[in-house]
Amino acid sequence: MRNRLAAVVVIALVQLAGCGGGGGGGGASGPPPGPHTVTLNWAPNHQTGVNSAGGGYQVSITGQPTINVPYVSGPTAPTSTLTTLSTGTYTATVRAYAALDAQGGSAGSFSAPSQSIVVNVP
Amino acid sequence: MKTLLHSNFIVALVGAALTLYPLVSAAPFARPDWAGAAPSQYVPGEVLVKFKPSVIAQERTASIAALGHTVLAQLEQPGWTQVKLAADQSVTEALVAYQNDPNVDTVQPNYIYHAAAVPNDTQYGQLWAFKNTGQAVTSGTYAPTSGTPGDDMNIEPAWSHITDCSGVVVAVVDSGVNYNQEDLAANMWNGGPSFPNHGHDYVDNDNDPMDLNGHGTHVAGIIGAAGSNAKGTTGVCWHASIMALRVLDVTASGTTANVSQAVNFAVSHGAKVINMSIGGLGTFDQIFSDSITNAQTNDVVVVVAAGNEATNNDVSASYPCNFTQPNLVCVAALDQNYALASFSNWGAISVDVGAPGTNILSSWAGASASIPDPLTTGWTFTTTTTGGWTSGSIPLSGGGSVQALLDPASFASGQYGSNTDDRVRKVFNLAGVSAAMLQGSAVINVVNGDHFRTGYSSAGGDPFAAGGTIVDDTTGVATYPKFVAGAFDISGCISMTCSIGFQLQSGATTPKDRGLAIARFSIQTLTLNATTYQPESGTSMASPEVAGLAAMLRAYNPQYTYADTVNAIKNGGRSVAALAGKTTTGKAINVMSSLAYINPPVGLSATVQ
Repeated sequence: MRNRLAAVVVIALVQLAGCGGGGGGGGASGPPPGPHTVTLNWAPNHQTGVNSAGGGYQVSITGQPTINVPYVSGPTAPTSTLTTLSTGTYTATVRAYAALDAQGGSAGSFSAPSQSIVVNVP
Repeated sequence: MKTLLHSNFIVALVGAALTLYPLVSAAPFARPDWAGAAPSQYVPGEVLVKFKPSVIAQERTASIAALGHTVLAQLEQPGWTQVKLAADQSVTEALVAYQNDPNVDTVQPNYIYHAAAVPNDTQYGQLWAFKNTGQAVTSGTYAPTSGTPGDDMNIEPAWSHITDCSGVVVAVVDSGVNYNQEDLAANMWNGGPSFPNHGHDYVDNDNDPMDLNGHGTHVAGIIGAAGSNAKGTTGVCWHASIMALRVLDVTASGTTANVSQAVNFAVSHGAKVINMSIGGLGTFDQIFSDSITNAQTNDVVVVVAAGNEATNNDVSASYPCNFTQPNLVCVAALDQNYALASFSNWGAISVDVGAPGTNILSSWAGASASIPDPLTTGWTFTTTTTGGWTSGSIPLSGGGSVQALLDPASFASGQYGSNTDDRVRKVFNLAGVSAAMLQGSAVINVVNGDHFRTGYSSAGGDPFAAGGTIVDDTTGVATYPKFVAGAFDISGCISMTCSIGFQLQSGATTPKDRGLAIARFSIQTLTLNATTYQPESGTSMASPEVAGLAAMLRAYNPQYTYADTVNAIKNGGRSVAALAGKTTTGKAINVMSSLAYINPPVGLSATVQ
């Protein structure tokens, strides 16, 4: 079921990306203004809990809903995500999470956010 | 650090108590996270649903029935219903379904809690570092011997997740390890045919790193004494792979050359954590530093003791603690109330974290014994001239006197003679012991190339005749008073007729000086066995608590680098007032928090398409 859910999410994102990419014409000198597909990548975290059931990443972009990137299968959780952003300047961070908490239970815990980056969408 | 605090082993059978770990009261975890929690952490086929207050009973029942579920119970917690899922539905699917139901306020798995993993080792109740209940450490010698409940490493919750660190080799660079000790034998490194005794001995340059001091065995037990084997103690890791590297001799002394070789051996033979409860050198040691760098290059964590001089390492450097490589963690010692131990060094720049380091019960290499001698009777005196050695007392500046062996008899007002060979010896029965160390202190004032020698002969008789062994030859000490304490390995003298002696040999050159007063004399012996445990205090004991944690972190997270490991140790710690301004972090290690600590992601980038 997790795989199916993940597939649904990916399809939805691709559709959004398609909408964004096709969203407006532009001059020959650069990307057209308007919504664009943005790919965010980061290095895989080394903690086992991040790369197993209950783990993953959350991507935060100013003014946007948090994007959840859960572990699905395989050796590591996904380390990229696609989103669509309108023209503007955004700040993005990513943080990792795992099911284990600091009391030894499964209430979960998060890392501190990564260093932020600025994303300029033309 | 080799501690000076020893105490006799007392058998204490303490029943291990099974305790229920407190239920987690944290807020429900964010939706995407528990949706992927491991199935073993919750009851399959069930979820707990909280409906919104405005939803009436019929609507609740309808929502549940619409999903093919049934009500198991209305919980006493207001608004919560325990729901049984359809046979073909997973908890994850149900969570998503209820999330999308506008009548539902909250939904979560029915988590499973376990009794915290508590080992059944007979002396576990004495291990306050792991579980501080305020218990008294029965044979502890550091005051206080009992402390504050909760001031501990918070390790029991972590043992519910990992106890086996055997996938991570931990090198103990120390006095060796008694690899036959009952709590360590199963947890020693498998070095294959080349290293059948689980390591290497750089003192004797062979492949038998048997511990003839005890210190290294104690350190090894803190890291990885077998846990829950119904005997003795437990280490941070119940299952471990301990590589024994002997660099400290019977007297717990070693050299730069041997230590650096041992570190490089550990690195080249697969160790990923190295513990070095050694130190005291105040000057930068290049080859030692180079070996730490080699460890860093090969992704090895190095954990070291801060030192037992009760000094600020930022002011008076103490190596290896003051090395600055990022793979090195330097550890101060805390007492049972989480105050900085009175002996512990500290350093806001040089010392990283604190860990329990007083009255730490652990394995020992064998039975220790002391043979003191009052320096009165049984000594044989010979001389080539008149005068020479005698047994007498010398006055102390603060009043009183102390018994001593004197040469000349008029010490310290007179002078020893020219062209003399004064000898004194006594026979001791050391049969059956595994190692022996002579400890003594003296006032020495010999000049003009004259000699003060210490020697032994296992066959009895004159230690300075043919067949004897000279363990020390001191000359040219003109300062008075010059107090010297010495410790010498006399294991070569183990016999029923071990003759130990001192010699003052002078030449013709004058003037002479005050001579010698040997004011303290004892023989410390160690008889190896597999069943001795004893408490010790020192930053030597705090360091392996951290090394064990490093091994646990790397075992739990096989992808961890040294940097990940060090970050988790430092950032997962618990802030302790006594360490504020005394260490770089102000924290004591917290095993469970470090295990749950997640390093922030790195390398975030974005591509606009």
